[in-house]
Amino acid sequence: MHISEGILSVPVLTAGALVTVTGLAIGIKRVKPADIPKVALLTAAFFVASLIHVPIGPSNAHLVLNGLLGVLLGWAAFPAIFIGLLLQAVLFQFGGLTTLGVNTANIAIPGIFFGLLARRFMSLDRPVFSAVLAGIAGGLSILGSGLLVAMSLGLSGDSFSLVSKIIFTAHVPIAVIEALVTGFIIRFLMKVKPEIIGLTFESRQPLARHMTAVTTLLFALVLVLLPTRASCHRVNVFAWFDGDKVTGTAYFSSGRPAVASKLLVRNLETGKEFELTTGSKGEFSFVPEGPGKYEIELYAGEGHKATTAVLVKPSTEGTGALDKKKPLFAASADPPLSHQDVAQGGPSNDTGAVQCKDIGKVVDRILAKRLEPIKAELQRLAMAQNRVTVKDVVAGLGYIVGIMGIWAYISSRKGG
Amino acid sequence: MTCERMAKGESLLHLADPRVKIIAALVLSLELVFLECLLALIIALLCAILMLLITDIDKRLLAKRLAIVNVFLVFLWLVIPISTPGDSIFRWGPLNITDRGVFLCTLITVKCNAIVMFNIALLSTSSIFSLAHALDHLKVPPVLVQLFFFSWRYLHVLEEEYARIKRAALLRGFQPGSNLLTYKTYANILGTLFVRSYDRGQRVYWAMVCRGFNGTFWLLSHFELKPRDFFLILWTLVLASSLIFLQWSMNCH
Amino acid sequence: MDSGSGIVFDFFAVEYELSLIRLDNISFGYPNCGQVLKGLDFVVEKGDRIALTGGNGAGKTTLFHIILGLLTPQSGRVLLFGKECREEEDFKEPRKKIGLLFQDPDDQLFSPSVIEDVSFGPLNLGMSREDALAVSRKWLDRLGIAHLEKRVPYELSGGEKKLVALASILAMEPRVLLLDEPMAGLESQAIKRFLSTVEKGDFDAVVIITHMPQMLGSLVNKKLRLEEGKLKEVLSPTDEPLC
Ligand SMILES: Nc1ncnc2c1ncn2[C@@H]1O[C@H](COP(=O)(O)OP(=O)(O)O)[C@@H](O)[C@H]1O
Ligand SMILES: [Mg+2]
Repeated sequence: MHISEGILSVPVLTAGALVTVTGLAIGIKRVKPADIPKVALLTAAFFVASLIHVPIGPSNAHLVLNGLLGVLLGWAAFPAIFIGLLLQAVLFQFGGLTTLGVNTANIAIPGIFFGLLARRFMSLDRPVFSAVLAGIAGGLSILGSGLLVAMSLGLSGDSFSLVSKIIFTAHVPIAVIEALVTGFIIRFLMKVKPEIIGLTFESRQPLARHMTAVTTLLFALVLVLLPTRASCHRVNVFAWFDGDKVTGTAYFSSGRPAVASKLLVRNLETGKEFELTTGSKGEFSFVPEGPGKYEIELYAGEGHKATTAVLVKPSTEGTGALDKKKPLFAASADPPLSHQDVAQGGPSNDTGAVQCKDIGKVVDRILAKRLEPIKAELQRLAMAQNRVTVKDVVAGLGYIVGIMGIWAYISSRKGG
Repeated sequence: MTCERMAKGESLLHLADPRVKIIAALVLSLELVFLECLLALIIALLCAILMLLITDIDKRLLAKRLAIVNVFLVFLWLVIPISTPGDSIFRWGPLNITDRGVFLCTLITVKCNAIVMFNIALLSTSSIFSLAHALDHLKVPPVLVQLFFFSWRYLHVLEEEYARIKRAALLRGFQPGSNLLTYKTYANILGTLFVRSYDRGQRVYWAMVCRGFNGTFWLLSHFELKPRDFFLILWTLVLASSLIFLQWSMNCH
Repeated sequence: MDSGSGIVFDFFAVEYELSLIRLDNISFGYPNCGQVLKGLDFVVEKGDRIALTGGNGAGKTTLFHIILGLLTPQSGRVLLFGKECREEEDFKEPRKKIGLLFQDPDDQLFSPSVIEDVSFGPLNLGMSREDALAVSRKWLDRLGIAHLEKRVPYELSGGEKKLVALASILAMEPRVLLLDEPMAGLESQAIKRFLSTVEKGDFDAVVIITHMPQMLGSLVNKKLRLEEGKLKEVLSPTDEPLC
């Protein structure tokens, strides 16, 4: 269920920690002094429940019961889950301090969301309906957690994509068991002690406000996760053809050049491949073996990958190989370029006029020279665009939510 | 039975101030998260092992706990090497093990074990009560500390209660299996546990009220920094800064 | 109150003065559990040493909780030291003078060490740290468990927990003691020490819930039995149940 130390990336851990601080602040505010022993005892009971192995088929699974926690405790489930995980970290060394935030958020958010939603429609007059509702909430909470766990992994690096798919799939059978157990527990509690479900930890707020808060938190989590990954993990490669060679740069979206990274160049016409290494400024260049479309794949560090394509057009400059194939290429239409191709070299020229060849050659040369600064300018612009995107702005908002959370948390210290 | 099996001992780390231990564990685990230089991580792992040796925790218990932690890593080792792009170092049918995948797994394994070992050496060597006490001194919101403290206090009571209820069910012929009746029985056992916990929570609060509780938890003992604590602080700082220096000088990212 | 006659007023006032605890016509039931107490009357006066018996689930514990305002009866009045108590606020002062020993000592002991648990009450009463420690040590010593001072309460045996819980009540130096099955799980040596502590202690009144009233011997001067939601006085030994 929860993710071990040392696996997730820093942005994912940070996002999780910020969301958890916010959730804790909200949760703590809702626990009145008189409720502390009750919430603590239920936390301990859930901890005991989480140690139980329930058989599923040939194997068994631990119960999580985050949906039930959401139904019983509402927002107080946040501190309850946090404490449960902290105890596990200290007693059994499952998880640890750095993953405490992400793991708490991954378990608590779906539980509180579906738990509060289910509780809104539960009533003592319809015990079976309520139990079914709670059961569904229990199952969905596990699926939601599975999704968040998979997302946390997937966003930590491309290498985890398969792992995260497997983990999410593993949550599906557990969700069924949790749904059943949660439903039965609610039925039991409705018969034996209904007031436990109507716990008064919640100040009776309209559903809308609860939901907005949980959803905001959920969104903050997602929005913080998405772009932070992009800004830290995306690597860009950028190339153009300037008449006789293909030149380009590789850089991280922070603007840092991808130094000494490997490039794989593939001629899409012939299927031939060769490798290149970027220089100290992330720059590279090669002389194409002929006209055609070239795909350039960049590998920079663990799983950081980017591709671009460059169209090499036959030029009139007369390197032998190009000249021979000239007529063929002049006739063909330009294939569409990938969006990353900001500029491409090789001005089109009139293939027929032999006497113009020399003039054309000179013009080409001069143009190429003149255009150099403009190309560089365009490249810088493209990089700048990659650096600050709408997503980054939203991420910033996410962090502001997180910081507000920290503030609320600190102020709840004074209140508590 | 959950118990603080590693918290009993007389080693330097057992005796150190829990406030210092919490901060040191935080500093070291946070730093390791940022480290991406394999050499630095291996050195961190060695230092963590060294600290574990100082704690003198039962080796078999340690091995058991570390084995559990590494189960998830084994799973990663099975998947990541074949799902990461990179140069192939071994190919078998459709499976293609890449150098980057193997490197990433090595990095994660070393990192995870190092962090867990630091946590064992620094946190699991403290009793939960002293950790709660330390969290209070470290200005964690009191409600959170009290919840932590009470949960731990009553964990054993509830575990015993659970064992009793389950034993009663087993004596009446309950046989766990993959069927609806099993899930229903577990639900009833847990439901009973929740009801009893809820009632007990109520009574605990009443007992406190009867003894004049008005929101204040009293602390009779206070921590005092001893020379060994300054030694631990120094060790943490030196270790942390040398790891950063190593990563920086090796220029790996 | 009949304000028409001054004499009647005085008469009642005197009677209320005498009663440390007075319950009038108390009815109480837990949600979906039926009535536990049905029109119960109960008076504790100065000098009373009451043994309270009753079958399992008769409502003895519930009665104690009602006396201290932890549960609110559906009908009836609770008067403590002559003053009617309705709100939570009304019970705050009397609770300091009435010590309630819970049936399960685990409910009462939550601190990380025995000495901290015992001094919790005195500190809440506003004593200084030194005074609280001194009074706590005094009671631990009297109950013969001074050696447990540094131990963690939840790791103690059942009997030891009971004695620590009792010490934590006595350390508040209450005038009235309400003891819920104090001797259950104690070995005979501990029972003797407990009985002599209660006997020597200069309490205004003591009410003891027990299944073994015989063991209290000369300590008690009144025996009550809770049956069908009401209290009945046990006059002859033959009325006592065999437990
Ligand atoms: N918290 C509670 N919720 C519901 N029913 C309760 C609760 N506590 C006690 N009862 C019920 O009230 C009755 C009286 O309980 P109690 O006062 O504890 O009895 P006694 O102490 O005499 O054994 C019992 O039938 C018990 O089941
Ligand atoms: Mg009782």
